[in-house]
Amino acid sequence: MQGKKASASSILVKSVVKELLYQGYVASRLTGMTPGDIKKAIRASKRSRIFIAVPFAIVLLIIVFEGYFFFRRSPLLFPLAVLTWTFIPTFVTVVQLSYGASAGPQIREFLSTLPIDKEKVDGIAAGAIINSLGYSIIAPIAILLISIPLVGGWLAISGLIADAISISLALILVSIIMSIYRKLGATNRLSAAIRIGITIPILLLSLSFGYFQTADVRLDAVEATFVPILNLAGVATGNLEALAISLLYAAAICLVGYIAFMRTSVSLLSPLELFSSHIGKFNVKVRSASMALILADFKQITRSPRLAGFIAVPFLYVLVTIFQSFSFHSSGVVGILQRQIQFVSNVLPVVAISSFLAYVLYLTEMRGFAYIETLPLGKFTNVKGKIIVVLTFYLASVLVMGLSYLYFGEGIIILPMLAMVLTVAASIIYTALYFRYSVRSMMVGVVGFLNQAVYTVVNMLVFGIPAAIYTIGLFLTSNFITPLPYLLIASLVELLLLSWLLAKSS
Amino acid sequence: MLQADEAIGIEALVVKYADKVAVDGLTFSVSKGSIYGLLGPNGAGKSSTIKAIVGLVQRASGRVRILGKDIDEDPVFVKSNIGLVPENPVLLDSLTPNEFFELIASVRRLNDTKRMKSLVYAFEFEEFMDTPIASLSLGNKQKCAVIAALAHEPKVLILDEPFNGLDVRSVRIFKDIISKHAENGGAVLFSTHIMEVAEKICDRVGIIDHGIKVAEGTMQSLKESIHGSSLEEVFIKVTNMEKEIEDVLKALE
Repeated sequence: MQGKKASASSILVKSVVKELLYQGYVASRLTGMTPGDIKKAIRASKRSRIFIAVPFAIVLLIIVFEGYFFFRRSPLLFPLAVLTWTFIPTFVTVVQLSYGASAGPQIREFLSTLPIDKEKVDGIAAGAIINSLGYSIIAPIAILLISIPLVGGWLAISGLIADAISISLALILVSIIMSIYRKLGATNRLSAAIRIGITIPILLLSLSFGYFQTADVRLDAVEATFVPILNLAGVATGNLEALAISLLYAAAICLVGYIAFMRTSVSLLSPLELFSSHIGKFNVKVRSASMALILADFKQITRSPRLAGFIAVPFLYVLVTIFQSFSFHSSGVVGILQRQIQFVSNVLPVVAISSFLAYVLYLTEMRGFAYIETLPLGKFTNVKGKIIVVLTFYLASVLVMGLSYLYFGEGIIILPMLAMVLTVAASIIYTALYFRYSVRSMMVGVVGFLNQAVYTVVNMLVFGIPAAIYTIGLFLTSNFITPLPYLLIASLVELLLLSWLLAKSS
Repeated sequence: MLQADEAIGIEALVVKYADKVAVDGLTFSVSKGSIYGLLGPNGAGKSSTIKAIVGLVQRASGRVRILGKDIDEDPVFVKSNIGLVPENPVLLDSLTPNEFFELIASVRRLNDTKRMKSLVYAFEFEEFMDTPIASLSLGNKQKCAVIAALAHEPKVLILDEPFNGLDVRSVRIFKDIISKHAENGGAVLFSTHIMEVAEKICDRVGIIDHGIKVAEGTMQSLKESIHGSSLEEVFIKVTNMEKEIEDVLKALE
């Protein structure tokens, strides 16, 4: 009898996981329309989970090697890196699952119609979410266990504790954010402020990682033994007292995580109850088409935890870069080669991230894409709005990063950054073309993993070719000005060619 | 062949989803001042036809003209003159209707929003104007789509199962709007599977099955040529459902 019950529970968990994958897929679909082939949709959703988990697992693997070769002098860095790079995929996956589940009442209604008690329903919902997390949980643990012979037992143990803390913290944070989102509603300003306030730890966590990567942090004995998270440095160096205390902290955080998660698991799988606090009245203002589209994008981004997460990445990166820049300069004399390396590692990713931002902006329209397509928008009307938003972000980044370069007497780096405005614009036009051509065919089939991979590769070429030309020139001439005309010409040619293709597109 | 009073012209339209042909060489036209009903069983290709007309799916072949203009040649003109109510109104869910209508009014460059406002009042929709679309009921989402489709007084209305989820009052108002639109010279392409509604409001109907047009004409001409006393009977005959229905009913007995 017990066996039968267990089997029924596992069947239910499997069914809910399938439904979650399906709903997550439908919610993330470009058109918002239901796919024709459900099995393919579930497979595509599984692939997207791997797509999220694998890069993070690779980063973790790199960190393990770095830990072996470099981090022994700063033992806190290894557990901190594990903490960050486990937290982010777990957080992203649960938010995505919840977002998918919130699109329809199926899961909660299905569970509530079954003749089983509430605790069991909670358990099934929690089991389904944990099951869906699979890759995010298994990949870091597997990598850490494999790394023991390389990095040594103590460093790996500190990583495993960090892993447990990280997963619990991610579940606690998602539970809190989604509770606020559901209770106060998406359009409530207080709700938005609280959600942003709670998301700041994610920024701080990543910022701190950027700082610890280059800074030589020395902890005193008390910090390395008693302060939560910091005492993982003690664990990494084989301090038994630190190990006992950090295990206690980890157990407490895991317990809180477990309780918070079990309490909210069902609501995480429930439809969103978005509401308005007052009875509305007609209040429509007519603006320019581009401005109206920008405002609509902005409102959608701020109301979706998933999109807000995507949009936070570019801003996060700029902050991390500036933070790193300070610790980089504080470490000693900076020569031309270091400046060149700094340019390549700091500025070029901002160009790449800006084009990613354009992709996210187009994604924000995914739910209403079918409707937007029926509006009388010229080929450049929509892309104009995207160019304004992305270039505003890019130029703001240039300004902020430029100020830090000026501070260190490296103002010359601002010139290639400004020239790359054309590169970013070309990349935005390419993104517009991609959405124009691919989305219509996607409306009838499953969003192709391959299609997105091709987009990524081509987009990397669009901003990569001018960037590579400039970088090669930079390293050959050791001069930031000489290769500048080549960068401008390459970007301009791309921009004109892609604009022509967009104008000619059907 | 372009006729002087043609509002919508569809020539040899083919829509394919991978290997599956959803619409197979469909040809029909809708005149100005008329209501054309596109009828067919589930999966017959009605929605695919409508999506192809408004450019939501790629045509494998065929031509689409709206008010004499080819959709490929001047999509902005075509879309400026169309009001579309899609089958499943997938709108911008996280916006409120106020914000959504603001987007529509701005993109469509409406100088004043008086008509939009009167539609909001006509459909008793004002109390939902600040509620996110995601949390509206199916009927209210449909009202939202209907208001957005009618606000710019389009010359051509393309309606895919437009009464889905609407209450009796709203259906009545919407039916009157459709009739008046046609009386004033506007054209309506109307897809439905509810025969009674089609019989009441359409001037001409085209019946499609498996993507192919199997019958077309006015109500009277169809009833006479197919020998049916009602549109439902005509529909069942031309889609070869008679025998199938008889067999099913026998099996149930």
